[in-house]
Amino acid sequence: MKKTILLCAVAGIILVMCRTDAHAYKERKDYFSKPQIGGWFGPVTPFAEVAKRVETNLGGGLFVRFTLPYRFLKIGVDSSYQQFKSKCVNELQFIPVYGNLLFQIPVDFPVRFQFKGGAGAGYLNLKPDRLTQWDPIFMAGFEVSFPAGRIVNIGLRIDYIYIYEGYMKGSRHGGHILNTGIQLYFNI
Amino acid sequence: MKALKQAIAIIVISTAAVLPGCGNKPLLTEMTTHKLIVIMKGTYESNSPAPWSIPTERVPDPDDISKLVYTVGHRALVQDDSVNKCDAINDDNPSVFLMDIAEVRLADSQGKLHKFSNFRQNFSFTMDDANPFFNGTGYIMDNDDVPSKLYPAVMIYMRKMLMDGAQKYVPQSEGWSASPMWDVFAEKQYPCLNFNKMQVHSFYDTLRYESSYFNRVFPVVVPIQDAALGMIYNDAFPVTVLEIRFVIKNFVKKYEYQSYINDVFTTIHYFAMSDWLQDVKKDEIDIGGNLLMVARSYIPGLTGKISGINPYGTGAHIIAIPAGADINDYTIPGERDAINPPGTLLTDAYKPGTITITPPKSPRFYNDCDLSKKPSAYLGSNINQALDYYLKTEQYNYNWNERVPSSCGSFDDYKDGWDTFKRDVGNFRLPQLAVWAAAGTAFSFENVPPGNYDIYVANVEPRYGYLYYDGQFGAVPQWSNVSVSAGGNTGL
Repeated sequence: MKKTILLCAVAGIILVMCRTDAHAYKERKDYFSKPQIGGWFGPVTPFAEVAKRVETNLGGGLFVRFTLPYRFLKIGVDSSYQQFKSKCVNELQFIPVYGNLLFQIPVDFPVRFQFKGGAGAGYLNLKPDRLTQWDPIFMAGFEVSFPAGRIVNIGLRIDYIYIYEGYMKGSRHGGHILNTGIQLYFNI
Repeated sequence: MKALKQAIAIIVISTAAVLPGCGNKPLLTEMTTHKLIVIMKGTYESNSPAPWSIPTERVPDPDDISKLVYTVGHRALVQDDSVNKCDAINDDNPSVFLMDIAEVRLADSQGKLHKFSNFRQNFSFTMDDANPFFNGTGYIMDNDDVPSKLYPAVMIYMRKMLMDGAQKYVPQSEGWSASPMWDVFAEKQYPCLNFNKMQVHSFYDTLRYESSYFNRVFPVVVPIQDAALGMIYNDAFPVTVLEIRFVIKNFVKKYEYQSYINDVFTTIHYFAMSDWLQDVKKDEIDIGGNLLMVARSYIPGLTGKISGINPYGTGAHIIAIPAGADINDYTIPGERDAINPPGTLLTDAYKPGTITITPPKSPRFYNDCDLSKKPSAYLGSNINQALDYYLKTEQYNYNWNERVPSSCGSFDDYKDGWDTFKRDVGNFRLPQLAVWAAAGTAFSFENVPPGNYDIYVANVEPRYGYLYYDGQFGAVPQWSNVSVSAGGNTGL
């Protein structure tokens, strides 16, 4: 077991030391480290219990991001509009607003991989009951993006959002929603 | 560092904005569960229904036991007096009732319709005492919740209503040749007939200015005549029950219509709801207005019970109506049919000439201006159908001249006749609470919303295919203004 950990650590150090052109890397990185603003759209899919009542639809959202002093970390705010309809009467409108921390894999690749996690609140509007409220939400996600020049980035994202209702009396389950989409964002 | 500050500021502002708004209802659980339970029953009674008592259709002919004949019960109570074209004896009592509901909506007090069950639902009920639809338990529909409001009516969009036992008869040299009618239910063929298409109500509705807007089954509008003038639905209660009852049990009759199927004159016999309220006459195809329904709501845990013992020596219906309500709203003017010679058993063989049955009298019978309806013109090229049309026209002229001007002398008489009919039929309502109890046995009304009730006991035994005429419900003096409280059991 110890041997495996040691091997992994050594491999990790070698990987970091193998950065070929530190200067060029920094220059490319600088554009990506600027504040970013962008939007995405794609299928929004409920699953588990909620999926029994409402169906997949197209959704979309906006986000802003700022790089932290440690340049592989960013902090961002995301919001989106997601409306889940059904063939029957049920309809769920969901507007999540959350802050998230993004970690970019520190490997020099033209393609950037970012993991993210965050929390916030989501506005829910349930029909036909016509009940509305804000619920706490948690999210985790993964992004791949390609720079298209100094300003534009094109990417793909996949986010999992958990709507937490467990603290409420009578709750039997929360909500699980998967957002996937293509995104376009700008280094400003 | 500037970016970090900006980011922190955004997070703090957005979190602060959403926190005060956090609710305390598990919305997603609300979505996947429901608090409004819709129960459908096929009985006049709200609980403890009378057992099925459809008369046996055939017995051996006493004069020639190799032959079968209909029983007196079948001829008097099951076969409607409008059946006269075909006397074949192949009709079997129905055993299955099928229902195809497109959707159900609730109308709120502002008149807005709430879709809460827009799923097509197909139901199949065996017509026996074990089926929950007919044994008082009820069948739960698939539905969702509605906003918390007052709902005075529920609307059911009926796609189809079918019963088995329908036969088509073709005249042949050796007599009537019978074969079952087939119809489509839930995209499959079954030996049954969809009588929904006959559930129109031409003889009265067509007299009205707004007749073209009338459709009696799509939707069927059922008022929820609770004390609050409707169902109060509030999602603060864990469960609210909406009970919708169709009078089907012990209320099925046989009807007839003629049709040219592939240019062959065919008579079809089929089963549908009894025409006790709105009589179907000879040569009429429409049987509408006879789908009798009632709805009520209650909140389990906030209901009481009324118990007592049937004071009569016969099985009887006992109904509970709001204290002070007019009992005549729950009955109509009229008389049951009469069978001669008196004392004839309903299980006896029916022998024309020795046994006669006088059809029942109902609001339509008392209307002297119930004139026959003009047959629609035949524009096809079939000689048989063209001749039929002329015969029907002659019959129509004859029926008209029989009444005008002798019994229906003027237009004012005509208006009065139909106004009276409308009053008698339109004011009729089914009791929200009704039970059946055998002679001298205990009964109890279950799930009674708190309030004061008058209890009435029918002074005649229930008869197959009939509800009650004026004077057939007797008040029991000590059973008036009975108070029911939540959780209480009121003994009578």
